[in-house]
Amino acid sequence: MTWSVVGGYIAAHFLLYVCVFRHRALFRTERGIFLFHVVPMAGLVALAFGAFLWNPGLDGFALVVGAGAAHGIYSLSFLECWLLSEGGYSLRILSELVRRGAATPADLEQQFVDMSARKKIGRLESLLHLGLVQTDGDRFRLTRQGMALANAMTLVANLAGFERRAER
Amino acid sequence: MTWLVLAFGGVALAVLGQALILRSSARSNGMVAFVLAGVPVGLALMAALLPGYSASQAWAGVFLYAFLCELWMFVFSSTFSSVSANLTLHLRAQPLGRRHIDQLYDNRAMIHRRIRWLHHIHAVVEKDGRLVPTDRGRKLAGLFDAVRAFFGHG
Repeated sequence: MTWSVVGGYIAAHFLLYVCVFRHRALFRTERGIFLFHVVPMAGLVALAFGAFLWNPGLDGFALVVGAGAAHGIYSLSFLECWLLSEGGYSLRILSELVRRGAATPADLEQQFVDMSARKKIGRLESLLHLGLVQTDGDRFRLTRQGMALANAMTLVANLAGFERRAER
Repeated sequence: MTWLVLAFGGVALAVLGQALILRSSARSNGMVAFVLAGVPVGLALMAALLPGYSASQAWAGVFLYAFLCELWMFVFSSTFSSVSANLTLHLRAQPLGRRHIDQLYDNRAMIHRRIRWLHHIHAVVEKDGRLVPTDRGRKLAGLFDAVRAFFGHG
């Protein structure tokens, strides 16, 4: 297995999406598009790992790591664009503003207030569905996994120095 | 295997550089700070890997560095801009009732935050109390609409 196979695999995956799958309803859902990337990525890494086992060596191992990383770059970029175009709230407001030519903040409030409410409820439901949040009487609290995620995000904020910035 | 260590070390250095830039300037943007730190580190990594290792190992190191950088930017931006992530951080401090969550994420305030952001990136300007898209805003909206159409979200 070589780098050209890795490149060809990724190109074929993208072409398959453009020509076939993007028109299917399943691939307009978060779950569908996520699986469309994760499963082939696992397949590519497994293929590279198989080639490494067949012919062990440092270059073969590098190809396993490199194939996973290259597919990761492609998939993460793709999924970020997909998510932004599906749920990018600021951009939807901007797009509406361009369509109208001009609008007052009150006009935009009127148009998007329902979307704000849906977005908030949808996110809370997602967190409940993913098992990150649980109900406790009439309140919501983090589960153990949710707390681990929140701690990881706090670590990210600390590493980036964001808490200190907020104090200024 | 030092190419692997160099790739992970490079990411750690880029994150450290981002933190130093953000701590030294209160007006810095997190993404810009990471790019300012990450690009020179990435170039230095390429200069170290490409002449010293086989092509497979060198490119694996470069791809791994690029992937980890992109992953960091994704996690970083999600932590500070996503409603879900923000809600998780609020719930970390204390359990919240529905009414408290509604107050935190007031529907109108969410819209006004987005409008302020569009002002901040010069996508809109205010004229006689009305918001008007700038040329930059129109280009951005055009790009957004094209991407939405491509993914079938239109």
